[in-house]
Amino acid sequence: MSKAIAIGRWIFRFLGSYGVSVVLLLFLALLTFLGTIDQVHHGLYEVQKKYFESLIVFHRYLGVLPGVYLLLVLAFVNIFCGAILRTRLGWRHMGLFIAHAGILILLAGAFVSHEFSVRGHVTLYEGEQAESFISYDAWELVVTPQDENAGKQELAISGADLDRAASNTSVTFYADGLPFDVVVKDFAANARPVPADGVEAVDGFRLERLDHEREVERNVPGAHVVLRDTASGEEVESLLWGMARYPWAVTIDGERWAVNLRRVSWPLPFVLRLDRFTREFYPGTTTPKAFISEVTLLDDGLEQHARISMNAPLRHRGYTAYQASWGPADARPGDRLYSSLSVVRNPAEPFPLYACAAICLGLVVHFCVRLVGYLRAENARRTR
Amino acid sequence: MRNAAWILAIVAGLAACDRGPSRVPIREVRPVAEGQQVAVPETSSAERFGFTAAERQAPGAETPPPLSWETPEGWVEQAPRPMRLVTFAVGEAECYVAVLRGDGGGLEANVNRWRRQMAQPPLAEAELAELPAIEVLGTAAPFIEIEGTYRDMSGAAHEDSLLFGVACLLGDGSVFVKMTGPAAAVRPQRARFVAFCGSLK
Repeated sequence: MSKAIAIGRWIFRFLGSYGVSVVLLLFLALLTFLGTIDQVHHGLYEVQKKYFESLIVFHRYLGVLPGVYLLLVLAFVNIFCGAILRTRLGWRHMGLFIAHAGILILLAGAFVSHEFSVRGHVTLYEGEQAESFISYDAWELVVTPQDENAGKQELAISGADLDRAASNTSVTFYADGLPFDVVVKDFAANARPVPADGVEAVDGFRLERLDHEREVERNVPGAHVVLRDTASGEEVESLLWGMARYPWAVTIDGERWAVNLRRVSWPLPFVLRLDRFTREFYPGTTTPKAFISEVTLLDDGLEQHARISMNAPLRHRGYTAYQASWGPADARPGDRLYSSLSVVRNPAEPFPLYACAAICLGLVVHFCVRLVGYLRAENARRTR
Repeated sequence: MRNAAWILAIVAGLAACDRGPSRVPIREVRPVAEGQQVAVPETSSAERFGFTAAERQAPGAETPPPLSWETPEGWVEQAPRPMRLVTFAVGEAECYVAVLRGDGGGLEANVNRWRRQMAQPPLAEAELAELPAIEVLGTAAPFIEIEGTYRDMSGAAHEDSLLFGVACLLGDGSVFVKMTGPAAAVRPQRARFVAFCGSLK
């Protein structure tokens, strides 16, 4: 028993040691450097996934490295254990204690943000309004009943589940009450349909796989889907494509269904209406000076007017809307314009503010404590 | 060091493990989202993917003969776009010309596709025969005018829209001219649209 306790103490001291802190910081610096370099070739999204949101990184030259996600979890543990090991109670150490608590809040916020935040966009022409926002990069396969008396529930298969069918690995999805199975025979994260003949063709087309785009939102997925009647075993098949004009309309056992591959959307707890969009350029140039979306927020019968510009987002009920872009890109003076707002729902959005406040407070307290200590010592020296 | 190697091996093993079962329950059931694309029964893959008959024959297909026209005042030619001979910005509206090999699917399919885009019911064969005609490229081409809610390729609905269309079937090829936009912007362009179609040579 005492041996187990001794091992536990050793692990605890090891995890909270300065040595681990230094190694973690060195790895963080290295991965930040590698990620920045790799971004040139693979784009922001791929690099974020590979270096910053992973436990392990397989690097072409350096082999296996810990991912930043793992490093930050270890950093949290390191600071937490270190605080328990080294914190001494009393005013003299209170400042550093608060500052370290601020760092822990920052790391906890990063975790919550990574796990629970969603990011999408709302694109509106003047006068239009939205009650939902659409993901930039997350896709789903949705099965929707089309008959009036069939209820108003749709079934969604997430992109993560669809990924299981990549590389022609057939995956069957089923649900209680659904009269057919959805068999995804193939799924490609970026593809396009091309006319084809022969056995590989489905209704005159096949899916051509494309390389992943550097900007992930430009990837358009495709899937080869078979619907298998669970009663009779009869099958109908089609290709689905993210940029299709219409969903696949299919009738099974006399019931009409729509099957679609589309971007994930999330409802907003309020309505956002674009009243006016203005763009300003520096005189005599096409260099943008400002883009401003004047919006009306309709929430529970109340109207609130707001201006969203490049550095002035709108924050409301845990959602933040930023001015992201506008179009059409080739619009001429007088053309009708649309405004694209980037919308983020992040439960940890205020965490960085709290963390910075705590760190600042901690450092100010520490500075004051040291200053008071110094002045007292100085006074004592002079009076001697 | 040995401990660290074991931990690394386990983590790497977990990362490379099997993709999971081949039979998976659908977990997410939720109310139907508003404003989604509308499914159109009996739509072919070509129609869903936005392919025309000509594009499906793309490998080795001959380039359709070019046309010339007189651009109406106020119409601004846009950058070239796939499947279109020319595109014009007409204020808030847009007009384009598409030239296809063959009949491009035929008059009925194209007119009713346009009607679906405007959220209008399809026309029967008898109703198609009663459409007014204008002279385009030496033939009487049906002139189509549809008011309704226009749904663009992204699925966004635009209320109070108007569509002018001309389907000119020439035997070995076909020419389609289509103008869409807010009704207030398209309606005043009627005479210019007809004149433009008549100027095609």
